Amino acid sequence: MEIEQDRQAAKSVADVQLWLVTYVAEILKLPAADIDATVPFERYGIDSSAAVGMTGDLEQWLGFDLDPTVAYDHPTINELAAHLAELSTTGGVA
Amino acid sequence: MPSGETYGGASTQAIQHHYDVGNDFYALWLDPTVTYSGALWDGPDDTLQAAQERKLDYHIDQARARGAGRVLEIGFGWGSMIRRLVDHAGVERVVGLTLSERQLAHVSALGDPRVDVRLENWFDHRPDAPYDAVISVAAFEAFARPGLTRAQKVARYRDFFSRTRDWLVPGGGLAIQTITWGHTGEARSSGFIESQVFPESDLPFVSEIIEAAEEGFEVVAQHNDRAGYERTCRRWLANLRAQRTEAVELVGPETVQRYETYLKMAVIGFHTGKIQLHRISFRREGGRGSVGAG
Repeated sequence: MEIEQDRQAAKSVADVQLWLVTYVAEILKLPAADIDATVPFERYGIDSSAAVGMTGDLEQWLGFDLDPTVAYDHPTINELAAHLAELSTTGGVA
Repeated sequence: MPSGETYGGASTQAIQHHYDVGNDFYALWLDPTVTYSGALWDGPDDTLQAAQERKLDYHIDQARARGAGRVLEIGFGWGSMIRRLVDHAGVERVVGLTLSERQLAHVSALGDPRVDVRLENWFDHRPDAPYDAVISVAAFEAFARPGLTRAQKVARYRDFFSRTRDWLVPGGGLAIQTITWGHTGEARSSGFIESQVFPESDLPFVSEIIEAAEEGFEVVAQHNDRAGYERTCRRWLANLRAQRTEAVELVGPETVQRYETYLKMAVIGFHTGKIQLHRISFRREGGRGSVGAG
C-alpha cells in the first residue's frame, strides 16, 4: 500500500461534501438525496471499522494522511467537509 | 463450568496468533524497551521510551515490588518489566509467565539467573514459594472468551484473583493494567479486533474486575488513562508508517495493513472512550499497616 500519494488539487467544501454524500449513500445503498449532511456518521451505522475505511479512502483521494479520529472530531458530513477542505488548501497536516 | 476447574480465557494458539508475528516486527515500531502496552506520559515533550519506563516503575511501586525477594509477572511480553525489576528495582528473583514461544525464547536468551521464565498459563501456575508482589500488564484482556455472561466472566476473574491471593504473602501487592470496555450496552464492538487481531478474547468491564477481586483484596488505586494509550497508539502508528518498507519485508503487506487498521481503531476507541485503559493496584488482605496517605 502506498502512503505517499501525489498531492491532489485542493478540494472545496462542496467537493468534499459531494464525495462524502456519495460514499455514505453507497454504503447504505440509498439515493444520495436521502443522505442528510448534518446527521452524525455513527447514526448512519459508520462504526470505527467503517470510519477507518472511509478515512483511508479519503486519504487516497485527498493525497495526504489524516488523523484516525478525524471523523469523530468532525462527526457530520458538513463538519468533516469544512475541515478537510481547509486541510486541503493549507497542506494537509493531519 | 464451575470456577476454578476450567480455564476460560484465550487459548495458547490464540495468543500466539497475535504475539508470534515476530520479534523483529514489533521491534520496528515499539520503543527500544519493546514494551507493548499503554505508556504513562508526562508532558508534551516526553519520549515513548521514557513514558514506558515511567509506566513500568509505576506498577513496580504500586505492587510494592521495589527491593522485593520474589515477584511474579503474568504476561511478560519481551521482558521490559522483568529487566526493570532486576536491573533497577533490586528484585532478587522474578518468575515470568507467557503463552508466546517467541517471547519466551527472547527473554530466555538473556540467560539471567535471577529470572525464571516459563511458557505457562497462570491457570496452570504452581509457585514453589509465596510472592511478595504480582504484576500483570496487558494480559487480563485475554482472561475471558467472548460469549460469556457477566456472571461467567466475573467467575473467571475471581478464579484469577483467588489464585493470586493465595500466591501472595499477607499484605502483598498486585498491580494490573488492562484495556476495558468503556460504555455498557450493545454493539460495543465492530468485531474486527476480536476476529483479526486478538482472537478468543473479550475485554473486561472495570466493575467486573473490582467485583471479582473484593474477596481477597482491597483496591489501593485505580486510574483510567485512555488518553495515554491513545497517545501510545498514535506513536506506534507513526513508527510503523515510517518503517513500512521494512515491516512489509518482514511480515508481508497484509499483516502490516492489519496492524495499521488495528492501531487506528485503537486510537479511535481510546479517543471516544469506547475502550479505556485502567491501572488498578490491590493489596492482599492480612498485612500490617494501612493503605493511603493517612
